[in-house]
Amino acid sequence: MSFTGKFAKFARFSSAPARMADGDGAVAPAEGLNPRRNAEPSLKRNAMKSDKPELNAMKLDELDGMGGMDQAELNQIGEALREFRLSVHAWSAQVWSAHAQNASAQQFPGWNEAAIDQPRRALTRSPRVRRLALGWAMGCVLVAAALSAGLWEHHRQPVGRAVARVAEPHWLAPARQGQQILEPVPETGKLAQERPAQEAKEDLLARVDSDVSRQVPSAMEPLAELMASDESR
Amino acid sequence: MATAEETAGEEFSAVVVLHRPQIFRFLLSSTRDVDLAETLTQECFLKAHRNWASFRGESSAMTWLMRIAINLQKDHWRNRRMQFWRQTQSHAVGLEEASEWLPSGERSAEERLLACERVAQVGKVVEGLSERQRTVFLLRYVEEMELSEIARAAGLSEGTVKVHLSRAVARVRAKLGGKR
Repeated sequence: MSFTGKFAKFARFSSAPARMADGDGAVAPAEGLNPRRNAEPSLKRNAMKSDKPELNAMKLDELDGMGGMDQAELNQIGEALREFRLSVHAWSAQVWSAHAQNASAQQFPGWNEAAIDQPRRALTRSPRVRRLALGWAMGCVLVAAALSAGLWEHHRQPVGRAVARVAEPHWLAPARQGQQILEPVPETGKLAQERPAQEAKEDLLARVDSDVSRQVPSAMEPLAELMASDESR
Repeated sequence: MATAEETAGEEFSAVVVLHRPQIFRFLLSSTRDVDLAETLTQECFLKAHRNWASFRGESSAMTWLMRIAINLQKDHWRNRRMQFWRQTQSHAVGLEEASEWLPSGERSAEERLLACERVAQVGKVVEGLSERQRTVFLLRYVEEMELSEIARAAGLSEGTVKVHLSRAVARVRAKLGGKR
């Protein structure tokens, strides 16, 4: 529930905000103190009497120090600050009065009972320490998890490659073989592969030459026969 | 015959009655959270009660209490920052909502509306201030403390207090349409 909704029941723009124990609506100062102490006023007592007189005018000496500010602007800012102060005072007073209505305003009845804060301390400290410990534990777990994930990933990569190769689809095998063929082979191996091919090529050329030389066109046949008879003679 | 302890207890009770609303108001305007302000006010007075014997009266009781409140508030925000993993429930409201509580006085509706608008603008500026600037600003312009008291309560030098105030007011001035 929003604050506005929570306190909407209180009249807003109240012309008479609840009185506060300060300069704006001073409650009677410390009464009922020990008369013996009154006879010998201590620094502590003096400090308790009143901290300051009521201050009505806004303190604008800080504003005066700012260059280029005319009187109208000074007044405007002073007025805004004064209104802001009044608003905060009224807001606080409303909350305070609501608080008092809940009878919780008197929750400091016996300040002599120093023990009242002991259980509170025990109640408040313990969960804080527990929360701190829990936070550290969570942090350690997170760091450990991050480190182990990194290590796991690092070790998993070679195994993963091997597994991927085993599980490779069959249609990828020819492509991989082709890739292997295209891969450059060492110079010595290349020469060794080329040599038989070259020899086979030379044999083929020699055979073709002999075949071609034996095939004589029909127009040259008589001449060839003559040459053959001359050779036989 | 009253013992020294009883006397101190009475003194402290008087301090609580006198200053508790003001400490609560400062914490409320600073945290903008009613529950948190109540809790911190309680803690402030518990701490003060525990250390009441060590209070020498070198400063006013109000300044001393305000110093405790400021330190508690700082501790609270520091703990909140450290507990970032916790899902914290904040009931803080905008300070501009304080404009809804502006006393009407004897003003026309239009004047009141303008005043509310101005207050909302100042509230927005205060929310945007740094923690230290906001503390100094609120102590000066809401709690109307003297510069020396603010310096003592916030643990700063008077010069630093003036610088913070000057910067805060410059932002208010810029927001309200003045020259920067």
